Amino acid sequence: MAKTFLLSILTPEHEFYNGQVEMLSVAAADGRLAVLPGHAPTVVSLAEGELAFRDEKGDRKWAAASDGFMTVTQDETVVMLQSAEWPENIDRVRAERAERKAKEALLQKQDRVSYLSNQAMLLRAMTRLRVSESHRVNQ
Amino acid sequence: MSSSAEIRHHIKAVNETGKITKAMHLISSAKMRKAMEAHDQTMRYYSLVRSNMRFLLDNAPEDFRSVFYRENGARACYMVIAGDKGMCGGYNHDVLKLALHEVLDDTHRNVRLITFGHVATDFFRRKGIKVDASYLTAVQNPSLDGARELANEVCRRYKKDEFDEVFIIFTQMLKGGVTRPTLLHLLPITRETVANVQPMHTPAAGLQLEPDVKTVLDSMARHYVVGMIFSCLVQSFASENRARMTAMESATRNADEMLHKLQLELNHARQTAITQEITEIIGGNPDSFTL
Repeated sequence: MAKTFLLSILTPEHEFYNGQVEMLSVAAADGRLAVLPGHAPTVVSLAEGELAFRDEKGDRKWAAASDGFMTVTQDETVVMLQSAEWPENIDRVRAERAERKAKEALLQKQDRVSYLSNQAMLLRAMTRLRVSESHRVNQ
Repeated sequence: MSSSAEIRHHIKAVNETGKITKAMHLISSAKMRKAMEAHDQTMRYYSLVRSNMRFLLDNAPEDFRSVFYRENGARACYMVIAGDKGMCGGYNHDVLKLALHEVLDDTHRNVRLITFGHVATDFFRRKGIKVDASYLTAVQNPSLDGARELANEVCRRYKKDEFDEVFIIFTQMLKGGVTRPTLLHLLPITRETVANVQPMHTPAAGLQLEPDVKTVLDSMARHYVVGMIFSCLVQSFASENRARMTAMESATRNADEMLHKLQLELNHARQTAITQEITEIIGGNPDSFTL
């Protein structure tokens, strides 16, 4: 059986990644999920979170990913996201500011819609901070 | 015949107007090119979203229904995209004519109207049609973030069951710079919406869905709505600039023609003045010669 599969990660702005990988791990809507070569055809709804994979040379790579979805088929795995960032490209100052702002906003009394949007903003900021902290540079 | 001073003044004015129209022409063409490049890049992604949706709908059960995939109804929401200012030929007029026709059409019992751009807002106000919401900055600088916010708002209201159908009226940018006002049926998403889209993958037997088909299709629908709104905004923006480009090009040409005519007129006037002076001198009162 093949030891790798073709992965492409797409965002509206650009093609984020395209290449053979040994393993992929994503944040699905209800927990983390890993894809290995020969996975059954699946469509997965993805949540905001960390995305990790091991490329054909065995190097591990991480990225901060937004919500989106993933399609796994025999030939390829396509991950479609609103946005994706490598740890080294994350602007920590901006992420920290966004985190602080979201936290402050969550303390205020507000309607449900803005509560949800602030919560999403906080989650996004925290994901970006976590990814940039734990994996400063991809190996 | 006007005096040469008057003609000189006229020439100066036309010259300056010509400079302005020429600059506007250059600005519009640069804006249009930039917008369309960004658009093509982004649309590659969203056409994939669409083909993915087709793939899933092909695999979904025949009677599949969800929030974004339901029946048409009597309550409609129209999003009308026009410009913020004039000086762009028939651009605003053409798209607003279609919009007025669609909005006054009585196939829908209840109509909500969202306008983009000053011209669209003012147009409906003047006609005495109630505008429910208007966005003024979105048309100047269409961004993906802006489209995302808008899409969230539309999806939220749609989910709250405020309307059954959503349409966008915008100006489509076709190949070769041809523009055309178009009505787009945004929601609900039906099998017809994606009928002419190539599915992304060959049908897979025993396709698994995490967590379930409804959640996945919902997530795709959201992506789809963002993509469509963005595309419509950018195409309208590009069309507006295309129209302005053409209008300004012909204005510049007019100015050049006018300058040419005025220059001839000026020469003529000057010559006449000289001739007249000489005639006056020759045929004038001999007493005026003081030797």
